[in-house]
Amino acid sequence: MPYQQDDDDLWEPPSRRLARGVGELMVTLGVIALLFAAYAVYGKAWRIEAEQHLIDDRLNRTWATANAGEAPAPGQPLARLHIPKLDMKWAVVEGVTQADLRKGPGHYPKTARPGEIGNMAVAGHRIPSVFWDIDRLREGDTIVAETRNAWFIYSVTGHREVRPTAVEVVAPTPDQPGVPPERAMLTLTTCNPKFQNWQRLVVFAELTRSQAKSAGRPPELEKRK
Amino acid sequence: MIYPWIWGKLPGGRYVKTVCAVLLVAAAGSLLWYVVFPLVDLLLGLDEVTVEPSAGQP
Repeated sequence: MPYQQDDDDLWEPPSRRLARGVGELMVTLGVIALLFAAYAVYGKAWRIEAEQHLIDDRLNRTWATANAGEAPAPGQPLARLHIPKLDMKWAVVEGVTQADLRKGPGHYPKTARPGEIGNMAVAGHRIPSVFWDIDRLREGDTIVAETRNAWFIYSVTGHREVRPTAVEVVAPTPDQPGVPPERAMLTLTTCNPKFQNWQRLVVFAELTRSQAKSAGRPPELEKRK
Repeated sequence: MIYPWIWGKLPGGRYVKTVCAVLLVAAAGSLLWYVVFPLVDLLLGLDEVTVEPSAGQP
């Protein structure tokens, strides 16, 4: 009987039904894969942007209420980071756990704080609203750390790719663990290549000068190369 | 063959079925976006951005 009168479906041979089933499955998996790609690029970026709004407000409130000398609690903002060349700025939180990094760039605990002699190390996701483009930073480009009372202007000294275990890049004197620091350095780490995790991209910068908040915004913030 | 089967199970006429289908797609999409993808993302470990002694070790 080639035709089933009381059913809307046309009769098909089993092989054809199977082929249609597999086809549906393939299309469904394809759509899910595309959706996941969109999530990896935009979804996470939106989430971090939303968190950054909250954390930035909290930073302003903290700065408005004295006790600036205290070490920030894990997950709480401690400074702001500006990269004028990329037209980016973030509130940096204390800590580099997955939970901390969902709020924005995270400051490696126990590394130097902005402007201090030593190495201020900051990790961030390689997604569009965080450290996506830091491979475009070149020697001499400006990174500005903003604290409650001062601006610290760092100048990029270089960047390179390292293995994920290369902890020497966040040592007080980068690449020379155990050597007492003499300079104030800033080190950014993120994953490399984009969306992969077998390398880390590291950007090094050195403090060139600082400026009190009372002296206004540093001119480096406006400069776009 | 799952989609024609679901379509057959949806109640009402063509318009009610369409609305139900859209709701189902939206529910499945949000489940993926807000629950499944964050978990998958953690498992894949693509967002490891720190240098640490044990990072990246198999």
